[in-house]
Parts: sequence; C-alpha cells; structure tokens
Amino acid sequence: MNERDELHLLTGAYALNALNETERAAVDGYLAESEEARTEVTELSDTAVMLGLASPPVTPSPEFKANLMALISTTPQLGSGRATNAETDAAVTPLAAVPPVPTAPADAVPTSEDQASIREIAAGTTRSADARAQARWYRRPMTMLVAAAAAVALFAGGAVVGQQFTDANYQEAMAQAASLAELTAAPDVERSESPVSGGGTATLVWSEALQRSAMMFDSLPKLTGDLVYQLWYIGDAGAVSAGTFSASSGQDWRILEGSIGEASAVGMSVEPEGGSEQPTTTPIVVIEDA
Amino acid sequence: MFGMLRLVPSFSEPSEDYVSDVESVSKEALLRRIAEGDQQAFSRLYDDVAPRVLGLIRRLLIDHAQSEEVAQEVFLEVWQTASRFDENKGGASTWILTMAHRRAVDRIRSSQSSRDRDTKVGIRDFAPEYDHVSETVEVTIEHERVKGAMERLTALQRQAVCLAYYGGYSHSEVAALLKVPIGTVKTRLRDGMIRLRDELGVAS
Repeated sequence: MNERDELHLLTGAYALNALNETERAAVDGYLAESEEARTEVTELSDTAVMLGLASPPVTPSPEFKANLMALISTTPQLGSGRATNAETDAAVTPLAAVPPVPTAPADAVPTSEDQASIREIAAGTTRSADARAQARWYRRPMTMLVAAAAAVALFAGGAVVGQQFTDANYQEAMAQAASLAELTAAPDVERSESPVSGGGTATLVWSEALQRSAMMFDSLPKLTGDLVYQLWYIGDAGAVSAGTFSASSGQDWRILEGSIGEASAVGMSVEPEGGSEQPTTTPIVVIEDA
Repeated sequence: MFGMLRLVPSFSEPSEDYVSDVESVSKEALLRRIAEGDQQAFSRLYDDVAPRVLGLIRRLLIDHAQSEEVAQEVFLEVWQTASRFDENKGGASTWILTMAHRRAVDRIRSSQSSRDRDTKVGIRDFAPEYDHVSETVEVTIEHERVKGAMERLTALQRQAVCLAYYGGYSHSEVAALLKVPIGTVKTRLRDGMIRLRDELGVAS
C-alpha cells in the first residue's frame, strides 16, 4: 500500500477527530490534492455531525446565556467593521500578565491550557491575508477574552458562586447579567467608546427602546482608599447619580441605575465611598449618547 | 457575495421535535448577520443550537462545569469567526457542532486530570449509554435514526466509532483499548463511518 492509500484510510479517523496533530496535518496535505478524498471527508464529517445531533440535548442555564451575551458584547470580531474601533488604544497586555480574578478559587481561573487554547484561536485566524491584517487588533481581544473568561468563571459554576456570594448577591448579579444581555441584544442598541483619563477605556451601551444604559470598562484602574467610581447622567439640568461601584481587575461593566431621561451624556467621576449628591471631582470620562 | 444558497442536509434544519423560532430564519442567515456584529442574531442562533452544542460536549466531557467552559469557548469562537463561515462547505449546524466536537476533544487530550473519566466511560456502546443520561428531556429524531444506523454496523465497528466520537479517544488509544492493531482501527473507523453515511443518507 502506498502513502496515499495509507492517508486515504484515515478519512474516517479524520472526520471523527481521532488523529493527532501530525497525522491531521498529513491528511490535510493529502486532501488539498485529492478531490475524491475531500468529498469523502466532507460526507463523513457530515455523518459525524449526525452522531453529534444524536446526543441528548442539554439546555444551558439562563445565567450561562446571560454571561455569554455579556462576554460577546465586549469581544471584537474577526473581520467585522466594528472591530477596527478596538484598535485605538495602545498597550497590549501580554497574556501571561493578565491578573487572575482574586476572589475565584484556583480551579476557576483560566489555566495555561485555557490560555493556550485561546492562543490557538488567535493562531488559527492568522492563516489568510486578511486575518494577518487583523492580527494587530486581534491580539488585544484575546487578552480581553482571558480576563473576561476569568470574570465569567465566577458565574459559571453554581458551586463556585455559592462560595463567593450570598444568595441575594447572586440573584442580583444574575439579574444584572440578564439585564445586560437583554440590552446588548436590543434591536436599537448603540454604543460609543472613549478613553478614561487615568487609564482604560469605557464604552457606553444604550437602547432607547429599553430606556436602559450600561457602561463597560476595560482596564479601569483600581481605586485606593475609600474612593469609588460614580456614574452620572449629565444634561441641561445638571448631573444625576446613576450609581457607584469600585473597579475590579480586568473587565467590568455596570447597568446604570435610573433612567437617562432628558440627559444627553453619561459621565463618571471619582467620589468618596457612598457617592456624592453632585460630582465633586472632574469627570474622568464623558460620553455623549447621541 | 452570498450567492446561491446551498441546500443544506435536512439534519441541519430544526427538526420537528426541536422547533426553534416562530419566525423562520435559517441559521446560515443568522451567521451572516452575526458576522456583521448583530448580537440579536447571535442570541437567536444560540437559542437554536445551544442545547445541541452543550449536549454533545457534555456527552464527551461528562463533567458539567468543564462542559460549560468548553461550550462558552465554542460560542465565543462562533461570535469571533462568523465571517469565516463558508456555506459552500456545509450548513451552520455542521460548522458549529464540528467546532464543538473538536474543542471537546482538545479539552480531553490537553487535560490529564480528565483521564479519570476513563473509568466512567469505559467501553460503552451507543444505545445503553444514552438511556442512562438523566438529563434527557427529549429524544431527538436524529437519535432514533443514528441508533438504527448504528445497529447496521458490526459490533467492532460500532465500538471503534463510539469510542472515537463519543469517547474522544484517538485512533491509537482506541487500538489500545480494544487490543487490536492500529491499522485495524483505521479500517474499522473508515468502514464504520462509510456505512453510517450510507445508512443515514448523507451525501454532499
């Protein structure tokens, strides 16, 4: 039996993902030159999918979807126009330098394996020319992805969450995540991104129809002492508080409290713990919602 | 650029027992919208396919938390690489489930700890294993068809295919588990899959 015959024998194993990387690459090379083998592999792959569809469906929890929707809303895409916005700011954090979420137990934090598989996505996308062109911005989303994955790990496993939150907190967190998911999936959702003075970026996401807004942050600096970030609706009538929070590492987001009403912008300032009636410091970011 | 729509195999359409959305929009059309950044389309596609994706991953990994992690990776990849979806190479379900299987297998192979699942998986057959899954809320049409087709394989073909696909074992691992030469496994996997293809009427 010659080498081609040997490789042709592997079409079944190939379709079943039962080959190691070396063997897989060898078959890929063979497929490139044999249309007959390509057809066979396509058919056997479709057959494998039938086996997949025959598995008992398992419906993920609503929280899983809510977290996923929150994740994708801050994850730039390959080759889409929107993604080019993500290129604006500077520093690409090395993957290894992404801090784990401190409150998550060790096994909930992405392992080097997870990071490797994330790099794999990145590597897999650099094959074609336009992918190479995207590589510059694409590195950053990968970084964000790791940080976001760490954050989501908090919500992902019920057991993990149970140790970290009281039931009330958990319910609240889930309600917030669901609220964000609904917002980012709204038909009229709009967004606007702006750098934050002091570091990081903020993205305002809003929907007229839902009368709801959220701010998403990437790499917002942690505050020291008794300081919090406070969000504000800003309009002709002045500033109205939209809630306070303290930044956690990596990515973060907040659904704004209250309604935007007549306000034309959303801003954020650093305030003493508990928040202020009116901003007492210069806003570090202001985003117009038009 | 969207050209002519390829007729997708019937199995990638929502089946009767798995009705998705009132308004019928194909998954392929949803993927095109997702490639443009449409999160609503993503939400709808997710609703359509998530139980299948998690079901498959769960079948391989068994552990629920790990399965959710991998499912999340899969959906993030769908979101990020939707523009790479090529209808000429197959339907949306094929694209997504192939991705899900690949990632589940990667997870199994990269994680030594998950090797303890060997004791749970053992050498299992198709039908009995299915019946013992407690989360089963619905038996899919595909399951009945695949079950019927599986019965047409020889016992050895069936074992090899199930170990590889549902167990995530490589062909050399399958050879070791079944104590047969690797060449025999290659042949069984290919002959078994060709038989399944013919029984299921899958043709491109």
